[in-house]
Amino acid sequence: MEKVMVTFDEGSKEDVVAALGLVESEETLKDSEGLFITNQNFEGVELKNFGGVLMGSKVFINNDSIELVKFFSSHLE
Amino acid sequence: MVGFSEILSKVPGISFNIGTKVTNIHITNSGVLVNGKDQGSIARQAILDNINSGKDDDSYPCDILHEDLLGDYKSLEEIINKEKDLLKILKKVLPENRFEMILMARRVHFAIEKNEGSQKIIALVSKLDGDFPRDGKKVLNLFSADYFNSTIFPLIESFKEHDPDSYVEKSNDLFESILRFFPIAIFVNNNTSVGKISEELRKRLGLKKIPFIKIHAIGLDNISKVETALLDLKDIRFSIEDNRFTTSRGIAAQMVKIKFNYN
Repeated sequence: MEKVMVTFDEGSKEDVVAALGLVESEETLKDSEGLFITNQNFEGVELKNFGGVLMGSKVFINNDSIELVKFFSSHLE
Repeated sequence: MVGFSEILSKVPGISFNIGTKVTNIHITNSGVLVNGKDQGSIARQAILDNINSGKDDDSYPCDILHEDLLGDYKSLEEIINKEKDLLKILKKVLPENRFEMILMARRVHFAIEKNEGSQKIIALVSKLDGDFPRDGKKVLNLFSADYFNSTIFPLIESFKEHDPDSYVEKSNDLFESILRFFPIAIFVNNNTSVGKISEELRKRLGLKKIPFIKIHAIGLDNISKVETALLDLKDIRFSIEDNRFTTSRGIAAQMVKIKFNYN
């Protein structure tokens, strides 16, 4: 199966966040339903720390390698 | 779920080979690179307009990642692909936060193995130490000394074979005791003095029923420090096995095993 990997640089982060339907509210990002988005620790994700979202997941991550570790750990079957 | 590449292939102005295994799309401030080829600002907007396409209630159809995380992502993906069976053994017996510490330490060790550059390695070690200040570096040392393969995995398998009902608890205890006492290994690095090696040796020699001590050193300077520290260890209760080898990166290395003669 073909896999698509989308990466973005710091300069395009705000455009990517907007394209994902997220808006900034008091620093923390909210989705189109007005709910705060959280990382795997159920902590709010701020625009300045936004790291993306991974395939097979709807949980957003911060720009922090430990959040990738948590993702891979939780998906280790 | 509709594949993201399938959606993108129908977007006017974007051309890429749909037959490739992985399509890399990199969005910059002014354009977009698709598999390294600049597709311009119109394609950039088309991709942004479609980035939510194919998403269902449960998940996104592709990875969307800050470029800073790409190296870590690829390394972790490779580690998981190559070492999945062994990692699953650890995940089964250890609490989640301990497993995450091990996976993070393995990521750091992987960067060292692949010689990812001193700045990247220093940043990763600092990250490991910051997130797991008590034990992170110890686990990295366990990887450097190949302790998981030589000691921890065989012991977990042995526990499982001989006492399947309590092997998880025993394995957990083993890991915690290795980290707590760190009794059988001394790792010598550039910051370790001869005095420190002697001090660590004396501490371990005072422990009851410890079967052996292993001293690991990489690099001629560190090996020389171990040799000096061992000069003080002339006691008939011990036998010293001095193993010299060359690492995969061509650096001189030493593993000294000090065995206790209890008879």
